[in-house]
Amino acid sequence: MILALLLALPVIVVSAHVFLPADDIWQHLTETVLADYISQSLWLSLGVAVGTLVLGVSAAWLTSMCQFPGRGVFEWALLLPMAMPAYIIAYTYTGLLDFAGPVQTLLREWMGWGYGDYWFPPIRSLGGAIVMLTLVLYPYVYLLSRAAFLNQSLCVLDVSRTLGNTPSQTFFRVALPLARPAIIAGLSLALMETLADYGTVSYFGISTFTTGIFRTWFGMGSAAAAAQLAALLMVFVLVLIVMEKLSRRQAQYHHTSRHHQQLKRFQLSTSKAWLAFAFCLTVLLASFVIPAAQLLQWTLLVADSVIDDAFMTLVYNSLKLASLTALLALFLALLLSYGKRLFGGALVRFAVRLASMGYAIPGAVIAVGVMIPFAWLDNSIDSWSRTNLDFSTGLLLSGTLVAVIFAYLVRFLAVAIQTVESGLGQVRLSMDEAARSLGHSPLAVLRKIHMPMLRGSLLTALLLVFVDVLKELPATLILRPFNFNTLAVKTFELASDERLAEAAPTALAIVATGLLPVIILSIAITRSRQLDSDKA
Amino acid sequence: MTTTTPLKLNNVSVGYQGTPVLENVDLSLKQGEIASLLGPSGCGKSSLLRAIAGFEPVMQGSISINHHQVAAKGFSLPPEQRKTGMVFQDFALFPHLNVRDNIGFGLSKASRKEKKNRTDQLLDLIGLKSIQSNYPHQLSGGQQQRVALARAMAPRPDILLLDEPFSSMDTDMRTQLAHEVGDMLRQDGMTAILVTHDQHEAYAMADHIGVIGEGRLHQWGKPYDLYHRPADRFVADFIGEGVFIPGELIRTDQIQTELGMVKGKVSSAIKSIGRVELLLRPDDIIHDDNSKLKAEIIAKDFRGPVYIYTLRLQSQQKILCLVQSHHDHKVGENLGIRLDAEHLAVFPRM
Repeated sequence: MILALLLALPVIVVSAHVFLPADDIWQHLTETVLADYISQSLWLSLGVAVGTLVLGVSAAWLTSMCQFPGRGVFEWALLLPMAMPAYIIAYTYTGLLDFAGPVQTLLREWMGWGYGDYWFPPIRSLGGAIVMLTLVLYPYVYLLSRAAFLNQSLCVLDVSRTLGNTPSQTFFRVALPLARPAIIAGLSLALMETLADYGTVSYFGISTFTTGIFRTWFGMGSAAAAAQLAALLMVFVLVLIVMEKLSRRQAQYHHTSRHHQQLKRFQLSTSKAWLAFAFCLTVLLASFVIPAAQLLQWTLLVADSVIDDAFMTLVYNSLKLASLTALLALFLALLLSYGKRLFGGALVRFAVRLASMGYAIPGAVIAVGVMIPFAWLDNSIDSWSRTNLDFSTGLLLSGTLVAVIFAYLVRFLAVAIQTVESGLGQVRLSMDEAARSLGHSPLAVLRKIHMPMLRGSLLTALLLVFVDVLKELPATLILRPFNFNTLAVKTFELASDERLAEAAPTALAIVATGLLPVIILSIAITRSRQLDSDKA
Repeated sequence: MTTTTPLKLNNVSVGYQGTPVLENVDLSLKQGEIASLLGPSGCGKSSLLRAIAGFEPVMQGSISINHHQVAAKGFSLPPEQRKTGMVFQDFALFPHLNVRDNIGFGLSKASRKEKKNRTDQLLDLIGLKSIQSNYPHQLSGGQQQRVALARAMAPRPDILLLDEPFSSMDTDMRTQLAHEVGDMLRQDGMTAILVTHDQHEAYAMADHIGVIGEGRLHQWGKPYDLYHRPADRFVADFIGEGVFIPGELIRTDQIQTELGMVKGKVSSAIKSIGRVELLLRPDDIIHDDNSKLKAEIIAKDFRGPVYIYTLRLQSQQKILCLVQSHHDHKVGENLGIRLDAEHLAVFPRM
């Protein structure tokens, strides 16, 4: 319980600041930029919502219900963009599509145009940000709606056909409404990520909440105002959390049919099949292949000059932070999950919920929420030791890795808890009892049943947290110790300085590690399908 | 060796969170006996079984396994020290172990040779030697069940507990499986208790059946006795089919009913002359075309070799009548019947 409270501390601190007297900076904010923050954030969310819905749902429907060339590959390949942090794809496309980039240069050469002769969509705009975020966030919608389509009882679709609906009518009148809870859940996740994004919007110079928090924090030095902005942002997120929870609860009622037969996919006509192929290919190219290829090309270009000791320090820093956090997160997740399993009271369950809340909270908000109490604690310790011990302790917590790791834990513990809990859920209580009645002590049960059965989930939990930490940007930016850089921070800084090619190696390293959990995910999905067909 | 008592329950009560659901149960099993606890769902029979296994405490009374007390009020020996085996409703096979390793799981203290022999013996018994290295998810429901059974039998527990082990099976397979399981247990000389709500499973497997309901053990006996000499209305209702018809007890062995005078030995529970109810099983009413007594057929239920006709007497009283199925009569016809009750199950009229 204490642990959970500690982890909820940032959220509590930020919320508490709503009630603190507003200083004039807040006054200033409301008069000038606040409306901007709100409207830009809303437009961004709306755009990403539409984009991810269109891409995610149609890709999900095509790969799950239709038969066309390359379907089997697209099925998992469409998940690849999950490995691509939004700020990385954003700066890669900027490099590609800016005035000096290869695309526009090529156009000019072909057409003989000069500067100002033609109109080219500006990539660094709200629209650009929407496209970038859509490209990397649609997999959330894709993943969940695809699962929903696959779980739909085929009978329901067949009934619709026998009642005179064409396949497309069936899609809109039956399949889509049935999958709605799952789609909304996926959408909420995508939107949470959108609101949490800092790298992309900051790079494109768009004023949203997250950029606002940074500006208020670093530019105006007002912790209180930043916290109040953060609190406002949290309200938006809260709406999304509630939306997600509600739709998940509905989803439980929707998937009642347990035996789904082998799906008979619609056989598309040749032209339609190639259209579907082209659609999926375009999405895949745009969201993953092209940016990854560009990163690779840049990396090869600069590899000699960039990959040096400093680069290795970055890798070492990132690995150290990520693995430390992952191990800690796993430990805490085990503690909480077993607490819940063994004692299972309402209090423990509430504590676990509280500890898992951080995942939905944007990194910038958490960073602010961590910084304020830590700084206060540091100052108090320092002044106490100065008056009583006559020496200054300096900053013990804030501005050290402790703060960074704590923030990571707040944000990513939920990932570990969820994975461990789902693993633990596989170990049914009756298995414990079976082992006990076969003469094994509780400890032996842990060793001979739980450990081998949980091994997979534990590794997955470690890996997920590890990769999330590696990609994390906003909280690291705010909380990192002076001159301490990670791969993500370095990538972002170099890109911000328009040294795009030099940022590529670090970016590529992040994308490559990010691929690991995506691969595991797609293997897990394929395997669970195989298990189903094994039983049938 | 003198006769042992693998299991003895002495005035046991079990319950949830301080509220008893099943009270004052006394029973004991002899070596090699197979018993069944039969009752509607929620009657506490599973709780009783889990109390024997050591997963739940007893609120009152005591449990002894092989003459060692394992549970009493405020005392509970951990399950792993009780020498009980348990087959769970969901089988609870260990998914990370194959068939062979699942069966051998409880033999960790045995020597390597003993372990191999016992596992082989059980694999032969359940007939799954050919798929011993398969994993649980590759097995059919029936196979999983056999593995669960073999796993529980492997350490030769003093008593084997089976908690609704057939409930996830197809209905038409349950009775057959229960027979098979009963045979396997007898071959291995196992003492066992089966908990079920399905009387056919209980008949197929058990020598003795305890009927549980309304918070207590109503009757402990052989299937024949439960059917023909039910101890009370609950047992009469729960076991088999039948109807109660009103009657008048005029002497200790004679009851006047709408179907005529019935003679037979009345259970000693009924002391006074007066209004009673008589339990009539479908086989107590015999089809006889020559009988003067007629009743209208209002429904018929084809059971293969026999029909169960639902008949209406003049007083509107409904009765059931079991007839060979080649006597095919139509609904609405009048059927000649005769009362032929050998055992009289008589209860005070309510």
